Amino acid sequence: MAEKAVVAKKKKTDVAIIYNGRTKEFTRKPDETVGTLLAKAIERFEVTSEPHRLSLFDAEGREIPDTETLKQAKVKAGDELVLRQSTVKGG
Amino acid sequence: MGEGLLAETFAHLRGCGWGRRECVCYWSRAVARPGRIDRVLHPTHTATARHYEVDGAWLDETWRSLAREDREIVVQIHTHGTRAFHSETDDEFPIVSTAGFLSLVVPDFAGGEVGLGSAYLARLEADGSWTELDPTTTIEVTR
Repeated sequence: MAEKAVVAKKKKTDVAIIYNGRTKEFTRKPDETVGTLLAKAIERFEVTSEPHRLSLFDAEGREIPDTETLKQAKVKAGDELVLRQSTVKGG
Repeated sequence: MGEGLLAETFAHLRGCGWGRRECVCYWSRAVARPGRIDRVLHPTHTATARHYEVDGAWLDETWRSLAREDREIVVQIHTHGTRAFHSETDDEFPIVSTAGFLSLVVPDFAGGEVGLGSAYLARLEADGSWTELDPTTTIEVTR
């Protein structure tokens, strides 16, 4: 019974986003822009500093343009994206 | 955190920077054990005497690895060639941008005594500002 519940949950998974080791799931809306999904992720992960410097990256490490829709960006249900600063540096 | 981890971190900072270049490391912990830092990560990065930049592919892989192991990065540590302080670049481009994240700057390319006494520590606040803290009282180093 427990196994069935896990399988059902996975099927409902839309897009998973990882930030600093934590994973949250988001409903995939094909016509939504990547920028909208990015804004939701920034809010749910409670990023309050320099949020405009963050982007979403796909499994190939490609920074996904904010202006594309999820469909245009080929973000599919079950995909796992990374939320991070485009550049991490110091000095 | 254990003193062995602190020594390991200084070894990375010294061995990578050779007293000539900056270096960066990260301390992580298990999400289930938030009170204990128990691992140091030394990222793939470029560096000069006044600058470092972390490799993007390393970041992607590390985010996924942390998620698999249910761990998180809680402190970034990097060196300066002279005095320790938080630069404008340090303020704006940390690896983690959520409140409570700590940033430790070690002077003299980590060439001094292994310890936190001469380091500069800052905490990221909810409004995006950084507050200076005393590293020796904020981070407990145990034998």
